[in-house]
Amino acid sequence: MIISIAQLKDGQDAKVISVCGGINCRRRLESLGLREGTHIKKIKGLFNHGPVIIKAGHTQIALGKGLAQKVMVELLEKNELI
Amino acid sequence: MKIILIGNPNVGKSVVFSRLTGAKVIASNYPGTTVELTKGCMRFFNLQADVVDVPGTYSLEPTNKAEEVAVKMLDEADIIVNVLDATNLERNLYLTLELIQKKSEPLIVVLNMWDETKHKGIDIDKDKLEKMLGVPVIATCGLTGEGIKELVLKLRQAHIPNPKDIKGPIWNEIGHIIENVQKLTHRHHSFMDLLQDASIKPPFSLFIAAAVVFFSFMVIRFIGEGLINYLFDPFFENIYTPLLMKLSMFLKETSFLHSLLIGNLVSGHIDYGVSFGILTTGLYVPIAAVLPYIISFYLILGLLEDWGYLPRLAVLGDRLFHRLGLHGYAIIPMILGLGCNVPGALATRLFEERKEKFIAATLMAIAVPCMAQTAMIINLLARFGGQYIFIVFITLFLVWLVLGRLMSRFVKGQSPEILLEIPPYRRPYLKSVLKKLWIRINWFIKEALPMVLLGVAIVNILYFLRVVEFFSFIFSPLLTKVWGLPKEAMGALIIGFLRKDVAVGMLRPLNLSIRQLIVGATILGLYFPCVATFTVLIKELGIKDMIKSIAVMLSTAVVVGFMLNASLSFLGI
Repeated sequence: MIISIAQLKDGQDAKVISVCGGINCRRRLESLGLREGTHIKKIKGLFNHGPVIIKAGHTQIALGKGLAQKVMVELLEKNELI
Repeated sequence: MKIILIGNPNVGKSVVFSRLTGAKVIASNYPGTTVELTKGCMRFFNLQADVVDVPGTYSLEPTNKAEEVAVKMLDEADIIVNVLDATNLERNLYLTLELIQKKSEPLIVVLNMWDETKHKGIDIDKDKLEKMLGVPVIATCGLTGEGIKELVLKLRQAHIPNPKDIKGPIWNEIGHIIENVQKLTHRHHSFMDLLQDASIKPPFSLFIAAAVVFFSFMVIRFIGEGLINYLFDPFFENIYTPLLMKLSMFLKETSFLHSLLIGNLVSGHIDYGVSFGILTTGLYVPIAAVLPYIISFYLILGLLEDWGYLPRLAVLGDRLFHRLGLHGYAIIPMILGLGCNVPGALATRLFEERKEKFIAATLMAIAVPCMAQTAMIINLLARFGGQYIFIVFITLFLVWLVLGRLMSRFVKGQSPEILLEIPPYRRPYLKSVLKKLWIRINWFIKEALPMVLLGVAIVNILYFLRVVEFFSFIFSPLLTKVWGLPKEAMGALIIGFLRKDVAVGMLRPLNLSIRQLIVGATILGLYFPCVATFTVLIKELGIKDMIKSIAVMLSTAVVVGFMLNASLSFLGI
């Protein structure tokens, strides 16, 4: 099932499938390490429309809700976790 | 010979830079501390080399002005030193591979924060990485200076990389490199991790934020007041005043030189709040009234910066800032502005869109009082009671909120969303905190002190030439009818262009009522930035936006001054 980071529950691990949005948006996310194939963990979505905090590799990243909705991910199975 | 340090934000370039050159630069634990180029020099095999510290960038395609400056600077490089955060190798390698592909200057790679990899269970095979990248790789720890010597020795071995070493898309190549050189071992969560999580997740994060802000204020006040009451005031009263009295006797009270240097005596005595001579009020304001608060503010700010708390505050404040057409990271220019509006204005370079730059700069210049001004407002109003100080600051805060809301509606353009790397907490390193404090104090003494003295001198000259009288006459309807101030307050408004602290101090000799003091102090904050901030803002915003910004400032001052005066008199103050 493919959902966006915004829809992910706190604490879930997932793999980025695609990043929607313009070239600039994609490039910004990519330079922070968010691209197809990245394993991420959602740490917390803040309040109802606040930023979403995720962990990609050893980096914690805060991204606005709108940006979070543009990053599509697939939940990782237990055996895929590192 | 020019050596350029480049790398992702918050990897410690500035720390490595000051290790290499001995230059004193501000380094903190949040991305975007450096927004300007800093140049220094070092000896390098009997050669003199210029070293340039540039703002951090994630890639060679800049997204804001600070990054643009960094990327442009690369064309002048003789040697590029690419600084990486070793605990974030994968992400940092993107820029490295871009440099290898697109640049043809000699390159050397520095894995900084090497010490942290061990705590984090990251094992990097440095020699293998060196082979795969085809350029020298050095491990360093900027804070302790480990590895810096090796870096200097190996600078000469920096060589032009072979772009053919990178086959296919960059990220594939990075994956390949990481697989070969990096091993991760699992490690249990430490206390720092728990604290990190707690300061992000509501509701605890909100308590923590409230506690951090509250304690910061308390400690800043405690240290500031303590320094004034037990160190600076006794020094001025007991040691400095007797010397000045001798000088006063020698000069004769009626001479021009006396009124310039000493100013007016109050029933035969020097009153540092009223006399307004260069050697009396001119020295007292910056040194005894302002400097103690500068010291305490920057000490606490330095600790928060190095600890890594500011990005967390940015995330928590994101919703609020959105309503003002900004995003959470705008908290950086605001907090820096509380110290001095100049670095606050420079920090707006971190924004990519014109709209958020304009709103952040205007709000900061209007409603964020610098520490010098704050200290003088406290100095002016404390004797009447803390509640009056509170009125001034709550008014400024409301202006900040309402004006931000209005500008977010009416300024054209886009407000992008927050996208921010949150660095891990790091224990502040006392030596670097103190060093940073010293840099900032030094800056205040060198830049601000002469301006204050100049300001006081100009006050005397303007009064002598009756210039103030002329302007008072022209603007007296605005001053008296709209703001309820005496027309003599014009002098403070004129000097406010130069220094806000002196301007606030000028309200004191006017024998104003408490309401007039509150209105006067608030308007001095709102109406116009000081000349130092003004010059930076013109450069950052451009003439056209600056004119708009000033129009906003002046009209805000008129409206808010009127409303404040009206509501205070309604409340019977």
